[in-house]
Amino acid sequence: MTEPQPPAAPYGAVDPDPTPPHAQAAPPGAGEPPSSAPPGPPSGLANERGPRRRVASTAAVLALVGSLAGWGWFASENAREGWWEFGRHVAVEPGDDGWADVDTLSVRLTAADTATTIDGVEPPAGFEYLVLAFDVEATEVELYRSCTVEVLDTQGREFLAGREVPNGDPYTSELMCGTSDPEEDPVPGAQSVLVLVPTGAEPVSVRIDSREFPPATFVELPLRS
Amino acid sequence: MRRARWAVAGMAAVAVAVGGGANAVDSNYLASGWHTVVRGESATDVAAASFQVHVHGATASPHLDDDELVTSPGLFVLVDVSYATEDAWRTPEEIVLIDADGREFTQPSGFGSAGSPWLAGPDIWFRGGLLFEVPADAVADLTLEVRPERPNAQLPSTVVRVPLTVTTESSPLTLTYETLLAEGER
Repeated sequence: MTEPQPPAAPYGAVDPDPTPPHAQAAPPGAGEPPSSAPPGPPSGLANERGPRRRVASTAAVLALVGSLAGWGWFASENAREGWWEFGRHVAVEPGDDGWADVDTLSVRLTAADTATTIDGVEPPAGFEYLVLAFDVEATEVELYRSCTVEVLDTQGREFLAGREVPNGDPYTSELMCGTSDPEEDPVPGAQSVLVLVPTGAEPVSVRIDSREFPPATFVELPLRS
Repeated sequence: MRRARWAVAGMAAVAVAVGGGANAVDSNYLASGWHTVVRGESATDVAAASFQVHVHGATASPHLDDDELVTSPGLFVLVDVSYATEDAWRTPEEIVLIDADGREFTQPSGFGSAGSPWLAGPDIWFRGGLLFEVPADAVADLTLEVRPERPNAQLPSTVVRVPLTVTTESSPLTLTYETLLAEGER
């Protein structure tokens, strides 16, 4: 006598649970008719790799941009330093009392007049002299020995004091901005310079500069018309 | 995913291409002195790089009167020129003569500051003579080149070139210092 067998599944029927529980996640297309195309990766894996690759791409781009920026910064070091140190970018303007201060130097414009003759000397036709007077105070010695004076006009031209002008007291070609011997050779409190300018030039400011000033710094004293 | 990979590869390729291009520019232009040439003529104002130049003419002689008579194995050339700046007082960095073969001649040494470039101001013109010494075979085709900025292989610049018509004399040339000109004079 044989034991009774369970009834055979009818032809075409699907086993209700043919796979172990850990493999129950059906691949895409499961239950669909088979096709020639290979099955794609599991959708869960795709969801994990997508963000990871985006992060990698972003990091690569950032590294590229950062390295290019660093290379540019390194390569342009001399140009940047030269542009800053040898240019005029920081204008020191006077306060309400008219004094402009750069470290231990204080300077004030006290007068600005034009002249067609200085001590009997006339400029060439088409030119005139600009007479500038300053009050100067230097509270520290051995600094700011001399300062150049230039007049800026509305056309952006800078006219240098002391060039092609009569020499002699009380005019100097540069301002004395410091001294190594304050007892014997003190900084004069009142100083004057002459500037040759074309007739008709419209000066807007006086610029005072010195090699010993901090980099890019100069004094700009506006001229009131 | 593949699009991101192509983007990174593309940017890397662009970076390499930019580097190669910069290297090519540096080799072919910057390292050999990249400059713009402004060509002018005698008796006219030529402006470039904040300088205004006006060439009057040039005279050549084998002799130079510099307190004592000096004789050159070639020729002394004295270029009569006026110039001013457009913005501030400064001296041109260099003024040279260039002949047909590209040879450059600077001011000879030993003659003091007379005959050398001088300081000029904004629209403040000076006229004077610039001294050169050249081989006799160079005088037929000479060009004056004014270089306002210091020649720098790494920086572009602008120069002024004016072809010269040189008059040859047997009498000695005389050096004089530059003179300030009245407004409108050259």
